[in-house]
Formats: sequence, structure tokens, C-alpha cells
Amino acid sequence: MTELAARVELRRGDFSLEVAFDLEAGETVALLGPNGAGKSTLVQALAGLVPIDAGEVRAAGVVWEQPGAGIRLSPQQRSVGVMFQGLRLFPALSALDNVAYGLRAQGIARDAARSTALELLRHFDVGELASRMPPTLSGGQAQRIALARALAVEPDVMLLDEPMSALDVANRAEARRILRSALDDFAGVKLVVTHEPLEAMALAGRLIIIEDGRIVQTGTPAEIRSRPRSQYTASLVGLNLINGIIASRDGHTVIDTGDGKLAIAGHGLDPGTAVRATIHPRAITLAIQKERPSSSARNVIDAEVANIELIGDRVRVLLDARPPLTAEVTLEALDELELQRKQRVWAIVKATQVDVYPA
Amino acid sequence: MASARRRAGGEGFSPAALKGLAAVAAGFFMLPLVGLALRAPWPEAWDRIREPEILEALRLSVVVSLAALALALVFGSPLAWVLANVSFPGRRLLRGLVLLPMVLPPVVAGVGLLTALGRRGLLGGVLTQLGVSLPFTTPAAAVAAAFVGAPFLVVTLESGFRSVDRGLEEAASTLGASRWMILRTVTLPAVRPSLLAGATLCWARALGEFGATIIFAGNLRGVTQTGPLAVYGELQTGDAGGAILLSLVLLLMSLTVLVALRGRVSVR
Repeated sequence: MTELAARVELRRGDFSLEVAFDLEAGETVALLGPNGAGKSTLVQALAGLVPIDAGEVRAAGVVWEQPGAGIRLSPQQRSVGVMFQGLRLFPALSALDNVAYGLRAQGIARDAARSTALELLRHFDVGELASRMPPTLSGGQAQRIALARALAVEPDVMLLDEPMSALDVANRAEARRILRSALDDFAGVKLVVTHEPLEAMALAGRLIIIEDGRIVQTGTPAEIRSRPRSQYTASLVGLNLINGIIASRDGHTVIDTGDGKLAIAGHGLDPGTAVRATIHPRAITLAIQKERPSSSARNVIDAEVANIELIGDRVRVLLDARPPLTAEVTLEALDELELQRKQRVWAIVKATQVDVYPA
Repeated sequence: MASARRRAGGEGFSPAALKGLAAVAAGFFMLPLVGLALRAPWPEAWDRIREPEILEALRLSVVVSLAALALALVFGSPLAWVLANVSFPGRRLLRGLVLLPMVLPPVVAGVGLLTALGRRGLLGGVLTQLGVSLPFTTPAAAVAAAFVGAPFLVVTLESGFRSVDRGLEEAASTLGASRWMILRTVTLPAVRPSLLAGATLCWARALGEFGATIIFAGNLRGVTQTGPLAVYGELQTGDAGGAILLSLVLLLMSLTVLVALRGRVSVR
């Protein structure tokens, strides 16, 4: 059953947001996108903090907003819980009163609201923080208070905007575990907004990826990982993405990208078919000799090292080539090849390592 | 780099000069207090302060300044909220008008109030028909003091309202809080320091009010003769000792409140 149906169109100066998606109760969906993609704007629109220009937002059978029919519920009228980026705890209220706030707003008496809030704090193992003021809390503690505050009113829809942003790296694993279990316990609609692919894949069973105010791809983490549909998505999952058209060269099947050609293993694809393909950076071998190396691999591409990035113990080599590629080598290989920027290299890719799928 | 060098250079030269100039300024502000203290007729001080004329003036000062503060809080605080939150044509002009009493000669303010609220004034005629006559009454003194004092409250509180974190108000609204609940639980606690600072300044300015009061409310003993007016009266009758003692009392009252409240607030 669809519990949140959103068709949102809104314009703010040069920026326009145009997205449509359905979320089901119980599932956790992550909205993933780079900064400026419109993620926070979407959260604000769903919560009723900014009006939409056109479309419809419907949750649990209730129309929250429909500009065409002149319907627009205020944030107060929507059964929504928001965990804001930066958490937005009330600094003048104790942790307990922060959590009790929504219940008080519903007209529940102070003592009853506080005892419910205390139960919730205990549920998150932070009962002892009840009397603390937000400015004295650590990032992880504040995150749990904010989570409890949003859940206290038992909303139909939970929106979590960059829920891990208040945390330093050391506390992330623990915080992610708490968040994950809280989300598992919550039966309503859950939308987690984030710009971090790891966080999205750890928390959600389905991802919606947006760029520049448009949805570019939706799918399970596994689908996104193996079949990225945009350069952004491909870079998120660390793959080279090639867009092109099937063509034939010297009797071999190739992808013509418009900026170079790549040989692929025979696929029985008709020439002219638009395809996408991924190449894992580790599947690309680099050679530095002057003459074209004789290799059984069908793709031997003339390239220039554009940049070298160290990621942990791995090295990413960005190649200026046709098409542009990113290779991954070990630290030992980096030393051995004495790679440096502007250096000319050969990028070698086996045709069987090019994973082709329909565009 | 450039700024670092400037800062380093500053450490070699400016502080001594700055401190010197600051000391001159501090002395300038202290001088009148010292002058008053040196000239005060200390041996007879206790008896003089308890003279009915002085006690009456002090009592009136307290009543009038607190009444002015009450007027400013009741009408000025909503005005500050509107100026900070509601966009309408003429807002800048209105803000300028509110600031005007801060720079206007108080005597001019008094004349203005008289022409507006006096017996034959703009609104005064209406008030007279209703059987209300404001000029030369204690309420008139409060109105005059509110006119010159309230701008301090409005200006301070408006900037307080402006700096309230909208995000917190948004969070409260998603939790179902009504606008009143948001105002009470989020906005007002956030502007408390501004409110306290503004109220203190407003009250202190009202306590010292002279020019507008003497024009609009007159100098009637026991009715509109507040502390500052009584100081003027004592000087006119040639009683410098009484004027100095009363001045000192007024000064200490203001100083105590300013240091206790404003000092604490601005350090926040």
C-alpha cells in the first residue's frame, strides 16, 4: 500500500525541483544526491514548510497539499516527524522537555507528556540525560534526543535530513546502528535524506537519487551499485560509466561514446542500440612504455595522467583519455610505475571487463 | 599575511595609546559623578533626602518610569515583533519614526505631544469629549517618559526578534505547536536577553526624562514633579545641596540597575 505519494514541483529563482515518487509504509527509502540537488528543499516541501507550486502530496490517505485544488495543510496539520539537519533541538528546554514538546502541543498534560518522553529516552538508552540542556550534549546524544523528539508524536511519515551530519567519524557506526534499529521499529513511511552513499545503503532498502532537482535513478542498493545510470551515481559507487551506441569495428563489437570507442565482448546487440557500460577501476591496467604494448586485451588506450588521488591504501588515477577513465592501482604499483601527473600511459582494459547494459 | 602583519604592528603600538584614550573617556564619564559626590552636603544628607519634597519626587519617578516601561512593553514589544517579522510598505519609514524620539530634543517631543494630546490637540479634543484630560497629570508624565524611552526597547527587541533561529520555529511547527505555543516556548526564550536589555534601557531613559515631561505634564509637585524636575526646581530656588543629593540618588538608581541587568545581559 502506498502511504506517501508525492508529486512535487517548485521553483525558487533559477532552481527548479520536479520529482515524483511513492513510498510504502514500513520501507526505509534514502534520498541520495549531491549538495544543492534539492534534497533539503524537498524535505521542507513535504513537511509543509515551503509551498509547492504544482503537484500533490498525499499521505496515509490524506491530501496534504494540492495547489490545483487550493489545498495546503500547515506543518502542524501534517502527521510528520522531522529530524532536521543540525537537529534543531530547543536550547532553552531540557532533553526531556524537547522530547515531550510534540505531545504537549497535542494538548497532553505536562506530567503525562514527560513520562512518555522519559520512556522514549530510556528506550534509546539516554534516560539519564533527561534533565540535560541541549548545548551540553555530545553529537551522538543530541542525535538520539532529536530522533526521540520526532518519533514521540507517532507520525505517519518520518523525514530524516542528513541524520548523521552532527556526528564525528568515530561515533558513526554506533549512531548508524541506533538509527537503523529505530527505523526498523517504526512502522510508518521513512525517508532518509543524505549525500553519503554508504549511509544511504546502510540504512535504506531503496534509493532515490536526485541531481539538479530531478530523479535520475531509483532502485535497491545492489541495482544502483551494478547499474548506475548517471556519472554522479557511478562515481558514488566507484565505477567508470560509459554511455554510447553499439557499433562494429574490424569485426568486433564496440561502444561508440562519441569520444572514443571501447571494445566489448560479443553481446548480440544490434548496432545503433544505446547502451551504458561500467568498468571497475581495478579492471584497468596501466603501462608506461613508449610503444603500444602488445596485449591480448582489445582495449589499449592512449592516456595522460590527469590526477592521482590517494584513498586509504588505494590509489585512484584519473586518466585524460578517449573516453575519460579512472583506474585504481595499489601503492606498490604507484611506486613501481613512478606515476606522476601529465605522464603519458597506456590504459589496458579487457573487453570482458566492460559490463554492458541497456541505457 | 597582511592582516597578520597589521595585527603584529598593532601589538607594538596601539594598545598603550588606545588605553590612554580609553582612560580619558572613562574619566569623562566618571567626572560628573565625582563632582556631585565632592560637592554634596554629606553631613545633612540623610535628613535632606527624607524631606517630603524629595521623597515625593523619588516616589513619582519610580511610579512614572515603571508605568512608562509597562506602556512600552505592552505596545512596543508587539511593534518590535511586527517590524522584525512582517514585511509591509513603509516599514523602513515606520522604523525611522520609532527611532526619532532617541535623537529628537525632548522639549520638541513635549511640544509634539501637547499638540497631539493637549486639550485642543489632534486627539486631545476627542479625549476631552470623553471626559479625559491628559496634560498636566501623572499619566501624562508616564506617556512623555514612554515616548522617549520606548524606542530603546523597540530597537533592541526588534534585533532580538530578527536573530531568532527560524529553524527552531520550523521544528516546533512540525511538532504541531500552534503559533502561540511557538511564541511562548521558542521565540520569547530566545529574545529574553534582548527583552531584558531593552527594558532596562527603556526604564533608565524614562527615569531620567525631563524635557518632554516638563512641557507636556508640567512641573506640579506631587503630580508630575519627578526626580529630574525636582532637581531643576531645587536649583531654581537656589538650593544646590538638595539638587546635588537628589541627582546622586537618581544616578545611583540608574547605575545599579544598568550594571545589574544590562551589564550581565550584554556579556552573554
